[in-house]
Amino acid sequence: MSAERDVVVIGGGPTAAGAVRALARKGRRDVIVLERESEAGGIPRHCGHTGYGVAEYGRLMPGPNFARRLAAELGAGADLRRRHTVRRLQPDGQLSVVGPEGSYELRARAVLLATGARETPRSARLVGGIRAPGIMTTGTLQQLVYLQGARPVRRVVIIGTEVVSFSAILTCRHAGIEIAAMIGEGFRTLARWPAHLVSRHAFGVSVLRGAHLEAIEGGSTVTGVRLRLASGQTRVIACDGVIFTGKFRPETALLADHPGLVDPGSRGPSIDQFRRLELPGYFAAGNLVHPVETAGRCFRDGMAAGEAIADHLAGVLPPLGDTRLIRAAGAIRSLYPQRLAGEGMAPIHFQVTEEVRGKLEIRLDGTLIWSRPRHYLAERRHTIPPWRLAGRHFAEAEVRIA
Amino acid sequence: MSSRPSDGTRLASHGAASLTIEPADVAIIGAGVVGCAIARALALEGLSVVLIERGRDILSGASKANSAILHTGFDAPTGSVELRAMQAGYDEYLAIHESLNLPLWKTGAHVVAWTETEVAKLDAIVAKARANGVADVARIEVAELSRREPALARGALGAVQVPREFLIDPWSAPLAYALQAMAHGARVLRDAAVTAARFDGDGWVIETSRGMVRASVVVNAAGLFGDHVEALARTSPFAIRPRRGQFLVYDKPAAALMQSILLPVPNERTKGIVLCRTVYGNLLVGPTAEEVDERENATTTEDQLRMLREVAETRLPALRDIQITATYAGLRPATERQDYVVEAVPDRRWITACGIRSTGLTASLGVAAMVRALYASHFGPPRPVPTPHLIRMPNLAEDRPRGIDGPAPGAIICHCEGVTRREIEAALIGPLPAADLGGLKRRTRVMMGRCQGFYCAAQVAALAPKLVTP
Repeated sequence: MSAERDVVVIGGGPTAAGAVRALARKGRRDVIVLERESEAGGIPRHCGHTGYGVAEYGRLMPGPNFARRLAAELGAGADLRRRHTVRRLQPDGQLSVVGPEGSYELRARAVLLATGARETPRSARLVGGIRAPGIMTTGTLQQLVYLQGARPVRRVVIIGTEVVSFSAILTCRHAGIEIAAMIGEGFRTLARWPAHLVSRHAFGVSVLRGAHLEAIEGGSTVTGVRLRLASGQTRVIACDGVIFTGKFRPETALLADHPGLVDPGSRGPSIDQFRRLELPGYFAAGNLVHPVETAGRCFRDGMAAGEAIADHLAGVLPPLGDTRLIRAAGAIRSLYPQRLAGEGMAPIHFQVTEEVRGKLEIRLDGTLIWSRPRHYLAERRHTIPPWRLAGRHFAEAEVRIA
Repeated sequence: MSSRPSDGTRLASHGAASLTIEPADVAIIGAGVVGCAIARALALEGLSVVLIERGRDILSGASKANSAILHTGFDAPTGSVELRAMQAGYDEYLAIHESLNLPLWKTGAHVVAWTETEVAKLDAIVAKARANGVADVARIEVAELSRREPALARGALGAVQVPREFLIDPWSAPLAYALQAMAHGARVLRDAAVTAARFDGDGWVIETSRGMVRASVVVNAAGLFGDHVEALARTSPFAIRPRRGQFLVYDKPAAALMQSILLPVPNERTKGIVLCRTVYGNLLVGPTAEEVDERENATTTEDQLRMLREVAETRLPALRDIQITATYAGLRPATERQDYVVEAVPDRRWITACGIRSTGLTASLGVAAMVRALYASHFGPPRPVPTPHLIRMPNLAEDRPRGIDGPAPGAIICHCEGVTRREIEAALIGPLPAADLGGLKRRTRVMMGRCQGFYCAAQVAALAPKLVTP
């Protein structure tokens, strides 16, 4: 077995780059980054549109350029190993890795899981109809367009109205793919910006809200989608491609052997405010913990994780076992951190299952300490500031929207 | 790749497709699991064989969707052709699987009753199994079932164990049969729909979309199009009534929830919804049984998929937290009859192997043995090859080493299923290369995992551009 290293980061995207930068600032250079693809940089590698890099590198750039800057930073600050895949996590920072030359074991004092998130494909959404080429996620479409220079479909229907859905529109525009319609199951566009304006006016895309995708029609290729509209009517839209966007879920395949570490709400690992898992030596950050945030936010989250890992290596973090639980209830789908260690406080971020107007309630050990009625949108991050809980002693907090 | 002829024949570059092909002893129409097994059996008899397939790749009809179980036949109709074929096929699979490097998971099965009505049927199930010669089928206590399958929902009222129901690789097996046939000279014509056929008293001239094939004897293994093909020789004595089966596949953590195959108590029409692992390390739920008109491009329906999920989560509650990685539908070539149709029409030099339903994966080798016997008794004595060439299939089963486990696996393309670039490249060359994306998936598992291509699509497209974006 090889000697113990300080830090191994699993994944080589924005979160990893943030962590490596923070670790470097703390003088930690014994860091290995394991990236399973042939190039580091993560999802921005195939986001051909602009909007990246201002906070991290001081200027606006397209995704692929940003990804190259991230990869360069990873290469400079760490031992970046591309095409190295982690197959198994064991306690005490022991990892089973396979690289092009074969399998090996690696051991580290701290392991950061930064494996990100992926979109929910058609299958997991239980959408009926045919199976055929032309049915894909935004990620697949972007790879085919930006990495392969392909135009896999001619005319698509885009399913979803999250931020990534608009990224899909940009990708289609770039590749000369016509957009027949954009379908939102809910009545409000989920993206943060006034997306209906952007899509209508900038791109001329018609957005059908409150429509349900009943089936994908065709034979060996897609010929259209059948929708049930909010009015109850059925409508068929001709297309040869269907792009399923968003509904990101954490890439937790490595935690399959450790189901107890996964929060059923977020479906990512449960963490404390130092981004520690309940498995000693393991940390998690970025979209693995809270799908889905921007690359910039993942970078900052990675930096925070890097600082926590530096403190862990210096032995100044409170012990792992001594935690208070934060539970989500009611309309709250997930929150993080799920635990608070020691005496410290931290902002609690949460997401709701669907758009809801309700009363946010915080209970400490069953006692209501705060409540406020408000309107909450889905697919957004809502935050409870740390001072709400400061100075209070409790074993378990419950955050609920009634 | 699709553009590369796999059989040594040449396509005309323009106009009507035509090919030159030596007259064969036997033309088999349909390269599903049954056609592949028949090709193997007849090629090992020293016969020259042409296997004709309308799909772009083999296994593109009924055979692309099944539950991958090697059945004992404990619940098949007593005295049926189906039972005979299943049991012969079962025995032959056990005898040859190691020599072809095909997996066999000895999981066993349990028939579980959840209502009093179902409990009342269990003794009859045991009695039928005994009548079918499957003597180790027996009632077990519910407590024993719970001990063996602790993740199973509470509330089972009775159970029968079927120790020798096993799991196999449903695609590598027929591919191995086809490759072994090819090693003995069989030719495989894909993308070749039969358009007409002429019997001249001594043999057949078959017109396909790729040209003409001459053969002394024709075997109809055309699955979902069996009645159409049968009509070339005679008024078809059966009609195909496609029965659709929809399936769900759960992600790999689900496989840890069950050891055995979970069978429901069957009703008059179907065996009901099965839960079982797959040798690829997932958990499969299905099939439904729906009479449909479609013969190709089987479609899923949201209501049936939701029903399957409901059944699965009721039986194995822990599935609620596990992602569904795939949904698909298959069509079984059922007929109005209760049994398979395996018979010769000697004066037309024709053999029929049709109406082979969901049990066809198990029965295929047995049906092939029946066809071999029919050929021998009507059309000529056997002259078996002295030493069969063995094919070593690349292993796709989770429990044995795969490419990724080797000493220098090189690049890994599909992370969800652990598929290496070398494995994909190997599936694109050789005597029977993948001819469409489905064929590549079946040969390698690429893009079959939880991300469904989110991570690997571009790299697969780079390796096999014609297959991914046709």
